[in-house]
Amino acid sequence: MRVPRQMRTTMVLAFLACAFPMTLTARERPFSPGSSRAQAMGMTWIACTASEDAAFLNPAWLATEDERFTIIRLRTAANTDGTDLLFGQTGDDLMTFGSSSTRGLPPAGFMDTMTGFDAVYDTSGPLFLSYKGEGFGIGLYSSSRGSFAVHGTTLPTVNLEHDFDIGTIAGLAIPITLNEDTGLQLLIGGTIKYLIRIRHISSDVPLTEASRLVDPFAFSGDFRIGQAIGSDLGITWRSPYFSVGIVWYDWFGTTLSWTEYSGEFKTKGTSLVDTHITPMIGAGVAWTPPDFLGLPSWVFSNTQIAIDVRGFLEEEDSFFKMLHVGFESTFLHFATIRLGLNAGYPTCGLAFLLFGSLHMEYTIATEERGRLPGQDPVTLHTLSFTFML
Amino acid sequence: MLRSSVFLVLLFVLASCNAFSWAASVDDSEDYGLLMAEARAQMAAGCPDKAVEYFTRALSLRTNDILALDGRVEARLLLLTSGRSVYTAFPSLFITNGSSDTSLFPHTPTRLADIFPTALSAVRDVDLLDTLLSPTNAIRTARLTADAAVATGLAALLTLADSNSNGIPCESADTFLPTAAFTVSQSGPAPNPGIVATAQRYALTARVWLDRLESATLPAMRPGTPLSAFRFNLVRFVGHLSGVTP
Repeated sequence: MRVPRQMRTTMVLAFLACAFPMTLTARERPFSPGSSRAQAMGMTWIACTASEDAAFLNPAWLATEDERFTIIRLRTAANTDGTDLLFGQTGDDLMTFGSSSTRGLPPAGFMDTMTGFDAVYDTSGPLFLSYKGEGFGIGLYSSSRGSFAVHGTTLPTVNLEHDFDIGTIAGLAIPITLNEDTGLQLLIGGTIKYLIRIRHISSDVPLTEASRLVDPFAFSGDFRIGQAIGSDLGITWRSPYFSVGIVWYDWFGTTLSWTEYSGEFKTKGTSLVDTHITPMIGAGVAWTPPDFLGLPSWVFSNTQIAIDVRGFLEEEDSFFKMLHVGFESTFLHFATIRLGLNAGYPTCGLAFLLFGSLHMEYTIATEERGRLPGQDPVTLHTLSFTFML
Repeated sequence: MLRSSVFLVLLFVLASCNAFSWAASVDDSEDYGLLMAEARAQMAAGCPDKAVEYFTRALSLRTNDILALDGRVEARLLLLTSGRSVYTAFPSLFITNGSSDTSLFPHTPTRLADIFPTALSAVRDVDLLDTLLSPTNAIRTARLTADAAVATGLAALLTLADSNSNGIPCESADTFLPTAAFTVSQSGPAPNPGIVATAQRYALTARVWLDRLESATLPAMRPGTPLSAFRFNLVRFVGHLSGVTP
């Protein structure tokens, strides 16, 4: 049947409207509990997804035979200023500086630090439940990400942005055997997800009044809650040594509708504009060599080398920002070494498996906040504990 | 052990180095957003001089853009203080019991010759911003107001300190110098009356900026705070300037 030209044009425009619905509007951070493994491997995950993260990162991997039940994940990532704020003296100094007794001449060292303080923190848990069966998976998580930036030489002001997410996801996947002799399989999966995002933003607060921002018991600011439903689709070709995957995240556009609340948890009548998690297509390839540098498998096992390219639908200024490369190998079935290149920045991680079910991981990874490679890096140190059965 | 330590040190140093930074440059860019992003990144990286350059390029694309002007003011203040707080870079401005036998600026004339034009440029930027912004504009933050006050106050003091108008304050040929007590010490012929009038005008404008901060009832302007001490000092300075007879 021949489709009239006008109808074809309409169909193409409709597809484009679906695929690029909000490229010019505000971008939201994607739905994700975060993964220190992916961070350490240069943010590669599409063709080398860990079972416990399959529902979140590539639903096609839900089709594999293995079963995994993750009960808890505690993950804390912060840059150096973030560590100072969360665990160091800076938080205490801010509280002290904000108290009425010390508003005289500010301590010199503290004020010098505050001319350009840029704390970033990112946590997962304590809520983290994920079950991956053969062909399906469900997940529930909480995570938060925020920044506490101070700038100015005379009267520094603070910008606080904090998101707390609660997300739930369910997915189905099917394996299609393409060739039994070679073990070639096609995995196809999809998820549906629901996200609640609680956001608190305080802009240009004078440093003298910033103590309320770092005092969890004095929280009184307005906040907003956004809700969204989204979906991801994934397809993966898998052989014993190679896998190639494509994932279309938030394929129909995940729109957050916001309601504003006062500090006393009363709804405010403010009209807020919807925001969007931009649809993103990513492709990945992974190679699982039978051995690592010819060494026996009891020395190095589970070696993987992966490459991801993500962000085809985003208006990136450079291809290199989309490129991610990762490597991992497990030493003596105990310690896993991970290396990577995340949009050009080297990443590294070390993970230990204790008692067969407790994963302890440390990662150092840099993210790009600017528009070009190398423009505005933020280096995060991540500690993660995951208990899985 | 040594190899592991070297590896870790290298890793920490290299973590923020980008393998692909050669592949993209903003040097030839005419993209306002990209230039602003680069300016902010340079400021965060501790390079306010480059930040000023990129904000200026952004302003060449969008004349009188308030975000670029505000960013440039902040970057210029960082240049004035070498990236530190003004309370560390110019502690004598915020002390009310300084001696009249001590010079207000312990810095070398060479350093002051760098500071002076930067302060004057910052004053030009804040004056322009003041005309562009409505009284309730969100850009008019406490930080910007305090930056304006300190830059303008510094301009007042340095204008008098450069009494021979050669652009190098506090050198031996300058006969009028502000002291740590905000008096004016005289060691030769009086400066050009225009210089005294300009210094006076800057000092009064700086006081207006500080009054605006106070009207916002910020704790930073309560009695005993550094900025309230600065205003007290400026009032004293204006009083002494009126006694200077060319």
